[in-house]
Amino acid sequence: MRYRVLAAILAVISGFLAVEAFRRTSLYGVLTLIMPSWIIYAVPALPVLGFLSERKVFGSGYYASLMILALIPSIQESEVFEGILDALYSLGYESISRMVLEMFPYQDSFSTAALITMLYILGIYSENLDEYEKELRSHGYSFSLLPTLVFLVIVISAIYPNLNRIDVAGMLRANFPHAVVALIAFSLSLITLWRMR
Amino acid sequence: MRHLERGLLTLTVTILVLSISLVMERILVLALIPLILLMFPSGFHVKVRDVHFSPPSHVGDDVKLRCSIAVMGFGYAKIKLVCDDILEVTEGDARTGGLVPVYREFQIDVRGVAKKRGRINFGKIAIEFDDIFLTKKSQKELDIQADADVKVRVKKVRKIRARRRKVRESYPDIDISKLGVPGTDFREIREYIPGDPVKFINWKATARREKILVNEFEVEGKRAVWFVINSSHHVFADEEYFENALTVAASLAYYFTKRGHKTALTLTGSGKTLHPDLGKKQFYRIMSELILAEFDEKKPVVAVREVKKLMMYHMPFVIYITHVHDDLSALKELQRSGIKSKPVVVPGKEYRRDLAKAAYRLMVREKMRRDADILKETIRVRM
Repeated sequence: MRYRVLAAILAVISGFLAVEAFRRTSLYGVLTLIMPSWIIYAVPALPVLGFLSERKVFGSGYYASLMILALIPSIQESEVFEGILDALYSLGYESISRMVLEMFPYQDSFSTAALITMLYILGIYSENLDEYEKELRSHGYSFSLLPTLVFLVIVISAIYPNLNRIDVAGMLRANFPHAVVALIAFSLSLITLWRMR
Repeated sequence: MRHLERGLLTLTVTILVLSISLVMERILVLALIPLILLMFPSGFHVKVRDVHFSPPSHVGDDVKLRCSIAVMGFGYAKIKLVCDDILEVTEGDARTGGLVPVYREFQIDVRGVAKKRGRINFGKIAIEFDDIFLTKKSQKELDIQADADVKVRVKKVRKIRARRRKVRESYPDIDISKLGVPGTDFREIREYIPGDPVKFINWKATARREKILVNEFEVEGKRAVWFVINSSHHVFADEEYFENALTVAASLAYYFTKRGHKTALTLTGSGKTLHPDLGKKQFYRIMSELILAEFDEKKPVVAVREVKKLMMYHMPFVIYITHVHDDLSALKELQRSGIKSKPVVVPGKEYRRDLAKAAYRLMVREKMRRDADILKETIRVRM
């Protein structure tokens, strides 16, 4: 139960982070013209409802919607978005194309998306640790699984500041996928040799 | 697949789908985090040290086992002594475990009572190891060579005086055998069977009846005692009952062998039968059969029907050892053939619920009405 509370707290924090990132976009201003501004805060309230109704607190659907909200400020990075704008422009709707571009001014929200992902991973663990500990107790073991959470926090805090340094585009250009496939094939052959010894 | 693994894989797929559908390669890097957790190495190494084992010799004897297990790895170890059906733990814990931060030593210190007979290995240890991120599980089984030959306990049989009531069948201390050396007490005149000694031909009667007749005399020696153990599968026949039944059979076999009776054994489940014989050797034969005995499929009536012909040849006294839930149909089958028999009801697991206890008492009463001996603590022979 204690871990589930932690998962709910992490989900609410993630919700707030995504909403705050989304509020920086002009799309939020447009939406407030149609509906009341407070309605966006229903997003972080969803995990609380899940917690009270004994359902999943931090589900993958909720995570995907938070990621979309968090990625909207940096949507200009998306090739699809650029393609839509170009299509509108070449079809003769220049004004609409410009208006859409102004609605999504570029703001780097990658760190928010990364933070939400980290919190989601912590959330997955927090939600499952309760169940695992219950299973352990039923089998007659009495140790705690808290070290997993502590170690996970250490790993995540080591990875998070260095995420921006990893240049995925550069890796893709430098045949990184081929290297990964080669590495997997090499590891598999080593495992096969080890088993056959 | 465990929930955590599924969660991390779903996360990887979600990030990949988002990245591909928006064509944003920058967020691909986020998929690396769950992959790192999923690929975290989960290997471990185990060593067993300082094994102290004091083996039991009989069912119900004390067993002591102490050993240290050194685990190397990074994760959680769950160590368990596999002894559920062979050992009743009275002191200590057969399970241990916890976080292994590179190296840790665990101790298993168990004291208990042996529950099963035969060649038993008390040193089977199952180790389950989860990596620190709980995504991978590996298992190992260790054998620390703590073997022991556990025999069926032979208890002292106590003679008691029965209550003054009409007894349909007593135990065969004064009954006489059908087979054996002919004595001097005349029994009857019967027709000659090839193989009968010539000196037993009754010439006068032969002349009178115009067919060969011989005198038959009572044979010397005591009646054979045949133990029939109900080892057929039954919903309520538990291991405790079976061990008690085997102890009763072993004790009575010892008692009757010592008093010069021929003894025989039938296990209804497997249908296995040891023919009647005299002496210590027969007792050891019975003991070795009892050590290997297990529950089996064959029904008691079927097993008794198969062995009835042999029983009718020896006309033994049958001691039918069974549980309280048996309908005694095998016994009816024996009685129909004129074979003297006695049901002995052996207790099994004690019931905890009041309703079950009441039902048990009713069944015991019903068995007593059918002249069954109900055994509790000691094995008694009513004379």
